[in-house]
Amino acid sequence: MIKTTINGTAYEFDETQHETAVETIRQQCGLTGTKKVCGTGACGACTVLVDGVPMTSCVLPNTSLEARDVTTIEQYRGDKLHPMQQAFMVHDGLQCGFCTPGFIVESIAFFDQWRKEHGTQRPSKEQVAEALAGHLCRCGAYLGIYEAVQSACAGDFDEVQEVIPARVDALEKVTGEARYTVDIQLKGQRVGKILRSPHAHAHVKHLDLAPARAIEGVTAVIDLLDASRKVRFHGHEIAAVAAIDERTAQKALQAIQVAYEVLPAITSLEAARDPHHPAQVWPEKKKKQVPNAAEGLYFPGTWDKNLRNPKLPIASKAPKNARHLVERAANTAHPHLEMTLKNAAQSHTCLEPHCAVARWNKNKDHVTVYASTQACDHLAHSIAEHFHLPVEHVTVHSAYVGGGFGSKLTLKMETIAAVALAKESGAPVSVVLDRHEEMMVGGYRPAVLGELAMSTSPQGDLEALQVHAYADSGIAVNSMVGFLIGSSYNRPGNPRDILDIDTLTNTAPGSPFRGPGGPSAAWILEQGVDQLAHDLQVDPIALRRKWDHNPNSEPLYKWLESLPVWQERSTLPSEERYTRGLGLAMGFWGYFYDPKAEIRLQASAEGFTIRTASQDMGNGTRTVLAKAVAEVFQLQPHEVHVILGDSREVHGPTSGGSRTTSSIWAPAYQAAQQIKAQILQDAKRKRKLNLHALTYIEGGVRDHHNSYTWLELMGQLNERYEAHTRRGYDRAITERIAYTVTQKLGLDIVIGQGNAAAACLAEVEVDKLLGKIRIPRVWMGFNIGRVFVPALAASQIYGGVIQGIGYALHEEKRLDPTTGRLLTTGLEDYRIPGIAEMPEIDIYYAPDGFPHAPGQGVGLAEVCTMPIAASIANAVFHATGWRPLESPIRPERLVKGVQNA
Amino acid sequence: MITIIKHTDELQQAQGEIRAGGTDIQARRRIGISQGPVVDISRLPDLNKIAWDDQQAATVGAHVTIDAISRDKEMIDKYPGLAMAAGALATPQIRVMASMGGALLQRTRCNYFRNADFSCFKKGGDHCPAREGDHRYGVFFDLGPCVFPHPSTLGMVLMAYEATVSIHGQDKRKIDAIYGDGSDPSRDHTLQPNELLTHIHLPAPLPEERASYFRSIGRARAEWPLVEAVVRLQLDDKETIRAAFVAVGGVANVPLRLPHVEKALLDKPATTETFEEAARKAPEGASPLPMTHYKHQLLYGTVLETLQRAYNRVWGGEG
Ligand SMILES: Cc1cc2nc3c(=O)[nH]c(=O)nc-3n(C[C@H](O)[C@H](O)[C@H](O)COP(=O)(O)OP(=O)(O)OC[C@H]3O[C@@H](n4cnc5c(N)ncnc54)[C@H](O)[C@@H]3O)c2cc1C
Ligand code: FES
Ligand code: FES
Repeated sequence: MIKTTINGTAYEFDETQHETAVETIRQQCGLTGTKKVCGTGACGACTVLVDGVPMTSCVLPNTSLEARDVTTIEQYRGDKLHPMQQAFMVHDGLQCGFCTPGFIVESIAFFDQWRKEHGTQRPSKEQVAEALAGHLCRCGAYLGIYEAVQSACAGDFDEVQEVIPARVDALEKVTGEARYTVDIQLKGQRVGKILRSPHAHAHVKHLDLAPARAIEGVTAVIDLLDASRKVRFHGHEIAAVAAIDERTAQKALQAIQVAYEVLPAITSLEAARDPHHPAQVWPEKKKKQVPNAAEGLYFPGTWDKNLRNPKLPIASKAPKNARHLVERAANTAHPHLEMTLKNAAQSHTCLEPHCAVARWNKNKDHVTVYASTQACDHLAHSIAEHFHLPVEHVTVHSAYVGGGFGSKLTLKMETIAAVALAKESGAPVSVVLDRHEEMMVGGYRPAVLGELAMSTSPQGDLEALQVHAYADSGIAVNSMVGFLIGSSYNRPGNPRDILDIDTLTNTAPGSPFRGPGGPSAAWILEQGVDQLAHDLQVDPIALRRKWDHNPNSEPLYKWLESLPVWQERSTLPSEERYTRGLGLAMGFWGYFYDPKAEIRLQASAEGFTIRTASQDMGNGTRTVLAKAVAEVFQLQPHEVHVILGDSREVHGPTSGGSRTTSSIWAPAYQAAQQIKAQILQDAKRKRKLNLHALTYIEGGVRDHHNSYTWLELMGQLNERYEAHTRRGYDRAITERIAYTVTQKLGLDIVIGQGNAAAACLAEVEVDKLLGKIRIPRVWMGFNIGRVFVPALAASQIYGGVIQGIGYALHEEKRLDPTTGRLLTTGLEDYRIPGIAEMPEIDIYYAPDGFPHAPGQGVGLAEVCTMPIAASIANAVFHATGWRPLESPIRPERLVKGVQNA
Repeated sequence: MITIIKHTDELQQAQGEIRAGGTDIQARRRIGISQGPVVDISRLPDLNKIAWDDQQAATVGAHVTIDAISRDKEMIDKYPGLAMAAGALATPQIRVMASMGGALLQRTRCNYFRNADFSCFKKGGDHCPAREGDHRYGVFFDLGPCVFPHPSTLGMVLMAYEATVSIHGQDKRKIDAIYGDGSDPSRDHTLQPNELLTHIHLPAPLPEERASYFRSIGRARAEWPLVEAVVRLQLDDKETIRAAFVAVGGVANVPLRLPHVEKALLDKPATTETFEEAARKAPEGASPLPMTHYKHQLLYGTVLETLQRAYNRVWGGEG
């Protein structure tokens, strides 16, 4: 037994149950505020203080806690809330909140040290970055974190009693009280584990689960293969077990006997393009089980062995003519261009892994599932369908979600396994992917190869465009890259030949990732446009303006032209070792919404409660709902109680396709208005308030004599109010038809009128000798109409920018070329940006973009990430004269490229 | 089974892999590539001190943390290359936990090794999957069957300091001896199981010496180096280089000293030209793998940068 003190309380634990401190703290001591993410010391999520010193508890032996004084995030609650936590709340140093406890305890230790040495001097960003170098935040809350740490150290929060948080669930997140799915510990909960294929492609000839069942402590063993009995990628789920503890579950996995007939496998995009390759990923005639990597939209297509050619609605136009024109241009002196561009696959690597905890009722006819999902309502329906249950017999909870970015939109194996194992176990079962599994099957943006050809007319018009995009989403299809390129610079009359080919490989399925297809489409096309502007010696803005057909881009061009940094840019790359460059890229995104999204608002003397079966993965759903009500009643958003993440509530939107805000703001606002009108009516009737003499004051009303808060008024009226509203359609007929189509595809989504537009101007500093790129600043312009909660919109943009920087410079999912097994299994090898990568970000919103949308605004989570990587590539070209055709632009690529240029 | 020993005498009976700070071994145990019993040495007494003799030479106990080395005023003053490297590697949290012994004797960070899905020489296998597969972050000097660079930043730095180490119950060994020549792919160091590294001995610094450490990485911070280097220089009052020590990491499966670069510096004026010429020699004799040709420029650039930083006494490390 080991004795230790945690947060001032004495603990005694059996050190043989687990080896490292993080499991002991979370599981044996029940202090789940501390999170485990990478398990290798790379991300800092598990940081705790040991005798006041921050340590990563995932690699700290639990025996090293003996006789130590340990502090976890749980220490800082209630009246012990630290100024640092207040600073994080105010400056929005968090989104999903999963990394937050680690950042906070580290920052508190930094604060203590800083105060000792420097008093209330403000630390520099450099100093903060150095102190927080051991922490990673996938949502990209770094700018808020800088500001929080700097201002707290400077004493801005020393005397503050109460703060107004930027997001309404900030307090739960900065105190570690927010319970994520990984934190759920039900009575008698079993540990579920999945057996995965060691082969990229094989036929399972024989699967013997009996030896696993025979092990003491094993409570369930299930088969996860489909009728084909095939495994099509390394990591493909074969079976799952549940047991009383982790060790027994591992033992059970090892006991399962599998006989494979190993089949030839395709492990790269190039191999998939080879018509003579012996392997075929989907030989079946009917391809029903093929997963979709796009965010909903699904274009049926034709198959040619391992290639699939979807029929895109708006892509090619007179393709033969386009081919002819680019060929002609190539053979004459016509201005034209041909380039092949590539993107590596980008893993979502949400800090909370895919996970689920399932519990059946006694009769085994109702299941409750806690899941880390972006779609609690939709997931309940999918579970019901999969397990043949009436949907009322399925409840999904997802109160807090540690990041999603598109990877948690659908029913996946961890949830299926948890539900099935729980049924067989007669006890709750959790299935939590470890980081290796998460990196393996947790989703990624596909690897893309784009063959681009463009020709221009003597007048500088885009004469013809040819793009053949090949995307490797593993065994899944639909990258949307070609579709998005086809929807760009689409002036009437330009012939274009667009192919959007899925190259099927025996690798894990990709899944939608923030603006699916967008960053790749921009990488290809925006670099082409930039190159042509350079070749034609015309201003890149002028050229785009001439070619762009999205009317919403125009205000952004105006804004870009007005930027002094753009006006003063140099024209020639420098010969020096260190050079600077500026690059521009545009993006656009559809305006999506869920017309059936509903809101239930209740109000009484006890307060306001708003509910819908949606969720908040850090995108700010809770805050948007609270803000809509608060705006109507002139309250502070955190005074409104929001209930989310429960599928039993009224239908709420899936958080994907930038549709959440555009679906819920309007009905929430409307519900609040309805209730307000009722209260006033009642007040007039019962209390003889003179409506004409009323003025609104903060949080209430006053007439000639008195002022009342809304709560007082409702108390005196002794009434409870309830409003139930629905989003509805913008334009009834056409959108209703479109909805019927998308709903058939299992989607609650409508494409509204008009496209959101974004522009990104990036500044880079390049060290050509050591291949290093730094991004000091980016300027982002948007045309998205009204911005509902500016602080949170900014946070979304910061996240989009930093994920775009990761895509451009650092992130690359790598597989062993021979076996197709994953090499980037953790956060050390798969490099997501840290706090020091975060640039300064200037944001501009064009006014008046979406007058026809209810609330006048649309989503921005996806459009904000589309142009980032391309703008960086263009900036690198500007700085060096070398065009980075392949992402990420890691040092090894840059030094090679610049050398050969 | 985890045995915590409190006295070096218990070492003989105890069976298992040694554990000090745990930052490397626990990461490997988590993914199942280190299994079996563990001997925890973190409570052995008297190993967490830095001692100085009358020549101003330091002896560092195996338990002294990397963080302590990076902050110790005397170390910073006398062995700036070592202190700088200690402050630049890994993350702040790791540095406070990691011991000097572990820093020198940690296992390779090869993605194939640290992945239960592959077999390799270091896991009892008979081939190196990285050689046939993805070795983009592999070696530039191909010294033996294993193609992943040696992980130890501080081992590399100590080569330039010509340090020696004590193994419990044995004679002192030169630091080079614990790494060998890279021809044995099955290990990362030459210690036998149950051999305990107790102390690191640093010779007294040269009068007026200057030093620097620098690593080439992709991100701004907290990344394993693509190439790293340490340089120590001693100049006379005419700015002629009288002593030079140059070692590099990230390029071979053992830490490497570069005598030919040192030779190109000796007795030359400490000028940009001399540094460039010497740095250009760094890649000489390399045997790059198909995917590591880019390290040619990075090695040249890193050595050049480190030489200039050493000359200018620039404190830093990551870049
Ligand atoms: C994110 C991250 C980045 C990192 N970056 C770097 C880097 O850039 N450069 C670098 O050099 N390192 C880096 N490291 C590795 C780090 O330096 C090592 O993990 C650490 O030094 C190991 O020390 P430890 O005391 O925790 O060793 P342990 O994990 O306890 O042991 C490591 C190994 O050494 C053996 N061992 C330890 N002490 C002794 C002893 N006294 N006698 C005999 N054998 C012993 C053990 O048997 C074990 O095999 C990084 C680590 C992380 C997590
Ligand atoms: S979980 Fe411990 S550092 Fe990432
Ligand atoms: S808030 Fe940092 S990972 Fe989500």
